[in-house]
Amino acid sequence: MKKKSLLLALSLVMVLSVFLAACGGGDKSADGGDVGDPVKGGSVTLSMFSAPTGVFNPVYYEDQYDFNVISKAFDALWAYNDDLELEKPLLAKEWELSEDGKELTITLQDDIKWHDGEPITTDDLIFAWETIAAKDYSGSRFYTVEQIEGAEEKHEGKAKSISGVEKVDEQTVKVTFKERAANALANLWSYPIPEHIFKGMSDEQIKNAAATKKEPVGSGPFKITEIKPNEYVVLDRFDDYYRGEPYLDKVIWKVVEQEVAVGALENGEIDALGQIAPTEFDALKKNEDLVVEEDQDFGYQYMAFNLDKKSVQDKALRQAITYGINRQALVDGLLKGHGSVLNQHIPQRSWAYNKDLDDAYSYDPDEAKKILKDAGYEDKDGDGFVENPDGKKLQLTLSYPTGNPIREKSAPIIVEDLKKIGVNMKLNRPTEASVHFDNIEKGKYEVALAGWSLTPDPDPSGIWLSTDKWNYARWKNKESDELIKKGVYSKDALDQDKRAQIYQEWTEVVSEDAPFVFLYAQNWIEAWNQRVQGVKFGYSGALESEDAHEWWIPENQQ
Amino acid sequence: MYQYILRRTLIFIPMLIVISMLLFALVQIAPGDAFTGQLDPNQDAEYYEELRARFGLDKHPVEQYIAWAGNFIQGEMGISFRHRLPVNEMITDRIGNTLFLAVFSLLLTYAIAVPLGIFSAQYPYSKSDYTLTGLAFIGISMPSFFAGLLLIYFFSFSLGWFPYSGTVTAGAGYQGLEAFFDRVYHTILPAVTLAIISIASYTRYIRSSVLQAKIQDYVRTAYAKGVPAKIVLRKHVLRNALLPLVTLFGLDVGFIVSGAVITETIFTYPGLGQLLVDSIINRDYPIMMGVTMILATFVLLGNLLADILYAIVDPRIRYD
Repeated sequence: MKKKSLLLALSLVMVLSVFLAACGGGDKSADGGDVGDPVKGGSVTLSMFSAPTGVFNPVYYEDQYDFNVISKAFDALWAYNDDLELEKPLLAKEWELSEDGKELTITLQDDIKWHDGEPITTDDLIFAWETIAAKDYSGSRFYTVEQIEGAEEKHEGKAKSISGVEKVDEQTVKVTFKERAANALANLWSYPIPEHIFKGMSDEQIKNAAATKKEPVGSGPFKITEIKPNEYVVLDRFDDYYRGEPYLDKVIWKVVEQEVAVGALENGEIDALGQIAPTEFDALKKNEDLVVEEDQDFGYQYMAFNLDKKSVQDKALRQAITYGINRQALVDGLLKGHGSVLNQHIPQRSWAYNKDLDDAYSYDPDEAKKILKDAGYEDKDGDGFVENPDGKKLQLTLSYPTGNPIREKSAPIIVEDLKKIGVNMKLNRPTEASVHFDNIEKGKYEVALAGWSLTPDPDPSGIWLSTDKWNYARWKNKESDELIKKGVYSKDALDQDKRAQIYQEWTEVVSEDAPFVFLYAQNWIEAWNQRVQGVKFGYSGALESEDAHEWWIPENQQ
Repeated sequence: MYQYILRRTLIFIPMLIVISMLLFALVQIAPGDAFTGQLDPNQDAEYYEELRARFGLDKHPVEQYIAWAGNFIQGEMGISFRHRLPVNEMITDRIGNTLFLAVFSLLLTYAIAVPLGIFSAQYPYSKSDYTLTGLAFIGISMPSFFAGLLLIYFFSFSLGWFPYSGTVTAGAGYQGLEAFFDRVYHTILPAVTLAIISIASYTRYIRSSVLQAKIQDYVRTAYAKGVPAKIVLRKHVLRNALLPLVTLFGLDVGFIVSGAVITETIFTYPGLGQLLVDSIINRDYPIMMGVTMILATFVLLGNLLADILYAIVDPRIRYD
């Protein structure tokens, strides 16, 4: 619905501007309509709230803000399309997975160059893998090569190189995986780094090299030319870019304090802003200079039950609580409608998303009361709150962290909702986030609010397997474990449709057992100045887009 | 006097040790650490243990403190957890900005507050005195983050006169004098923000101090001798009235540096204050310890400076 009305509005604007242009005889473009063909020149200032740490090397960065810069200066082998299928070729021209899913052949594009003019070859890709697999590697990416045959051996220092990697020629490389896995490609490290610069350096040296911190040599549409720590990074157009010379002269990433960022955007001081709060949406939308877009974020918020605690071990109680929370009201009230109720661990955009769960547990206090009653929860002492089936008082305690204002506000609302179905939940004082998560990790909680951010691949292992450390609910379910493994390692999993089927089954198992109350997924909102043309708002938003070489600014607005 | 300075300086050492111990203890009492909750579900849990081990967080607190203190004495403040950079480097990168800002705002404070205060005292209980008093009252009670946002709103966004963030123009590549002025240009708004509170309190302070001095016997005597009013004001009133300012100056050093914490954050002005806020949010203890120790040193030095200056300008004070 939202998409349609947006389209309608856009086409109206389009028609209107053509009309205006016809009348005025000029090339009016202030309303984002007919602006003619892309022209070169101009610069765009993007902004972020926090400073990058200054590690501009894909193999070592840890920080989202560093990645902002990296996203313009480095290209991966491939990217996801908007349906979250890994099939958009970037540095890799083509790739092929063998029938049994164990052998991958990657062919690079012709004539691709590093920012210093050297050609990008398979050596650079292999070098990145070898660096990550090295015994002394101090970054966090080992899991991206772990699945390659022989990577483990190199990591443990038993081998000098990864045996499962074979260079065919300058443009072709063959990778052998340890086992057949559906997400092998999604997990595989896909950023080459320049071997001719880092060759012979130790891990420590690469991490601290000038080419990592001060003069990075990348492969993307823009090259880093000036770094003012904690203030900005300037990137200049890379003329030899393999997907065509970018239109913009410069892209500047600027650090702007959150409190003033929206004002700076409205005022045209910066051209684009991400992470916009839902409460700002309407005001920004009214500003004619801006394009504002939103889409369901990959992450979601939830309320976890600690299943090690006896009090919440009863499935019926958890289901009743899920029915008893008016989640749509949270979305409407706290997010001003810029979000959606989610009932599963998979974002709507994903091909694995289970539509059947759309209406699961929709707000129904009567149903909640009925479930409670059937399971033996009754108010015996007349205080308005139900007692356990064994007659003891039922009192749950909700913990939540500070830092996310919307989440903070949702806590007392949830408690109120539960009061209406007779479930007594006490609200803890909000704790600082790292304290809160420390408590959760150690199991020192009963019910807690938290959130996850997800990756494009739907594999939920790491969070949902019975043995996972991040399995905050301590949920142990054999069926779920089997399905999660099947979703990656079975033969069926190699076929996307069959794999989707497996995850749909899995989401239903989760939904039925309700170890979590899935609360809501907040929309990801970004806005940019309409003078910047050619911006696509894809699955990861617009600011981090790998297609910045297509951005341009009409001549009269440069 | 030299002995006094020496003694006072030596006292710094135990004070700094106590401060550092308290800080370290606070850090230890707080649950969790820099790597708690920073998780990537794809990552093995062991990785975080490895990280903790690499940064020595798995050791006993006392052991950690001794290691930290040992390095600190040798001028090494450790490696930032988040930035993976030496803390020394990060602090030297930013201390210049903070000092620049602090000096700038101190100059502003004196340049504005002294004449205003004297003016106010010259015409006490007049309309302009009441106006100034009212303004000062607003200035003192306005939180600096609010003042900063107001200034940004009016002078950057509405009028477009001054930049709203950073210390230099992004991508302009100025050199020499041009670069210096660019920097001054970027420092004006944050410096004014910082100065607002001190200007307000200084004006009030000077006003009452001058008023006090004006009713002293020696002033009356001077008038009686037929000394012109201007000279009485300059030689007899101001000299005595402005003396206590010296003490204020010393205290101000600490005040300005700590005030910079908020101001620098609002203006994305990369100084020590912003670094401190950042490190607290990220639980980056090596930076937190380093910056706090430096700020503590500044405050102690400021106090010492005040005492010494006072002794110099007021011969009645003797230190033995």
